[in-house]
Amino acid sequence: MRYLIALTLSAIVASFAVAAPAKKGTPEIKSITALAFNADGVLFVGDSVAAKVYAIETGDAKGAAKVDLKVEKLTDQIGSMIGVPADQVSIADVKVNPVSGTVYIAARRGASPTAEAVLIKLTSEGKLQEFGLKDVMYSMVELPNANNQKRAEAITSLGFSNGKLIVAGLANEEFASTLRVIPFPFESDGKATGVKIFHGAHGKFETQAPVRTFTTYKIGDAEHVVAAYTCTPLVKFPVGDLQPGNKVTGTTIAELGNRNRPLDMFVYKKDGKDFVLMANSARGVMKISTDNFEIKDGIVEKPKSATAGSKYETIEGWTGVEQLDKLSDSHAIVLMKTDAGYTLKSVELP
Amino acid sequence: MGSLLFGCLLMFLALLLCLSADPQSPKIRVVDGKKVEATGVPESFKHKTEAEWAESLRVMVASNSTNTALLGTYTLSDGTLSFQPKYPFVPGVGYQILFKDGTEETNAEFRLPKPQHEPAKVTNLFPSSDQLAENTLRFYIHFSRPMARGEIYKHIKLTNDTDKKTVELPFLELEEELWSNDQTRVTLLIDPGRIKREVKPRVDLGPVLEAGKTFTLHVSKKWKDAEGTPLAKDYQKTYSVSKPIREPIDPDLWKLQIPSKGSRESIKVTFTRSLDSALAQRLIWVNDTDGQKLEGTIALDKNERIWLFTPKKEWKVGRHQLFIANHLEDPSGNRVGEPFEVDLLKPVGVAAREDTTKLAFVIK
Repeated sequence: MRYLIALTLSAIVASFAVAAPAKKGTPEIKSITALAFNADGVLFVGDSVAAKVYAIETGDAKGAAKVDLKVEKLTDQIGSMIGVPADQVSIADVKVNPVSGTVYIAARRGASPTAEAVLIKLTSEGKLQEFGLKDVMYSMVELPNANNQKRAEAITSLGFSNGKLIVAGLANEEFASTLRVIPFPFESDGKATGVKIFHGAHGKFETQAPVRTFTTYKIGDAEHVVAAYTCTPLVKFPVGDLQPGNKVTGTTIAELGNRNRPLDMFVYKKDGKDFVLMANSARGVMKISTDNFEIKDGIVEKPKSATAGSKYETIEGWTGVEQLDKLSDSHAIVLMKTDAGYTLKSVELP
Repeated sequence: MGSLLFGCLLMFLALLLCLSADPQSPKIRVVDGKKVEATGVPESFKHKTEAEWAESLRVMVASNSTNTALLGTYTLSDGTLSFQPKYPFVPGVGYQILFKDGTEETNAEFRLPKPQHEPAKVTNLFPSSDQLAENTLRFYIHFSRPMARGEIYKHIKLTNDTDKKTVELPFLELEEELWSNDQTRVTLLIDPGRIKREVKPRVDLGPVLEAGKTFTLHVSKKWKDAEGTPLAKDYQKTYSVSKPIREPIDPDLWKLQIPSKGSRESIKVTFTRSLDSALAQRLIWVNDTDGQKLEGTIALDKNERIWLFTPKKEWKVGRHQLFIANHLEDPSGNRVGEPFEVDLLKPVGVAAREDTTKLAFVIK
């Protein structure tokens, strides 16, 4: 039986955004659920509670990544700095500033509605230090429904490609999912494209499909979003197609199995070839070959095994990885959950 | 309320708690539950840097194993060294204070009392009906107090009562968790991969809910509120599951019961099925004869099948309009004019659709 999965994205212009140009001040960040850097080292902070994305100039513009980093009992150490026990610290994201190689950690202090969001950086000496937000240069963009008490949108992943910030999120009411594409620098009359995303299965059914996590990657000549949906597979679609009014067709490039949630991913090069490194809830860390990413029709045969599509291997010994990012050309930074708590450490790229 | 006041009183008693008994060494105290002071420090402290003060007076979280000190600022005034933490002390958390001057060390611990309150309880679970469509996508759990976020999936369970088993991974587990900002309502989504037809998780494992069977959603009392107090009791709701609903919402089939002029009676709208409890209150409204949105209150009844709007002012004679945002959904994610799963073999004009559907009615 022919097994064809195609993805359809229809881009719909959404009314959008109050944006503010860069200014010096102290952003009142209420929560952090996702971080991203652009190639210039601008830090993007996704604030789901305030329904805003901040762009912060870190002033952290020089340096090279240290590749022998290891912090044990991370939540214990951060909790000690911010005055709470380790079990009241949760880590929302870990990202590396590509300009300086500095590791940034988004933490939450406590579990209440007023729990503070804290940004921590790991210095090249391996020391944890709070990244103070007082008097930084920043700009921000406000997402719709910012003032609704009940409706909220969880920002699940941020990415940057070709001068555009891409924001993936999932609302706590309507399922209609929106991927937002916001030109950067944010402009005072900034417009963003809200793209409703659909998943087409076997050419028979089409459904809304929120993106859980994604990365961007050049496939052929075009920048693509490589994304994991909340409902199933790894997919791709061109960044350039995320335009108002366009009907965009994407493609399934891998089926990574059931009872599993992709958590985080990035692209890296090893021995002249590109790979996606992906952390998962149940299937460990996968090193996925990009060899087949250029395929046009996606997976066309019904997979006989639990997984299908692009080839991958599970990296041995990388257990409990919840966050990962590229640290340097040779190393990744990973956040691992162990019996002794959380460990943040650099590891050689597999 | 009484217990809350008692908790506050205890906190105030802690404000000027003197924690050192030795009259010769500096005394350590916690002021207003907000800062730590060492009084009577030697004159030599005037010549020290803030970094040196920080070495002398360290405040740490007692239960953490690393001896890193809390972030904060230090000031010296009239022989008193003060530490103001960057983040406020948390009631219920034990803090250790270590004051060092040369070889002399003073140790103390303190813990601000936690305000006492009634344990939280589940106040509502939607859909409120005891019937669920097989393709139900979304539940809302409402609580009487703000709850703790971070571990929700540990505290909820879905059992298949007919087959006497617990359903494995029935929910879409998102690290971010789908809370309202006040954390009194959490949204649970059934794993959409188990609802969407022809999608691998469903092909391999089947749907989570199965028509003809009975399921129970369990909420554990171990779930803590925002202050760390567990729920008053376990909560559960049993549903019998019927066949999936795959048709879009069609407002043309709704029945409107029109109020009389000059009254403040409710307009009653009867849907053909239960709709999403949150969206039905946000995405349906009434415009008056001038096209202005009417102020008033909205209520739902009969398991989210009836929508009632009571205007703030009396109804005027003339043509009104009921507005329905087309992204209104039922609990299965079906929208106005568009089902959750669009059958690609039948053309649908998704992009060309209006944002709203309007139903006119006349007050006579």
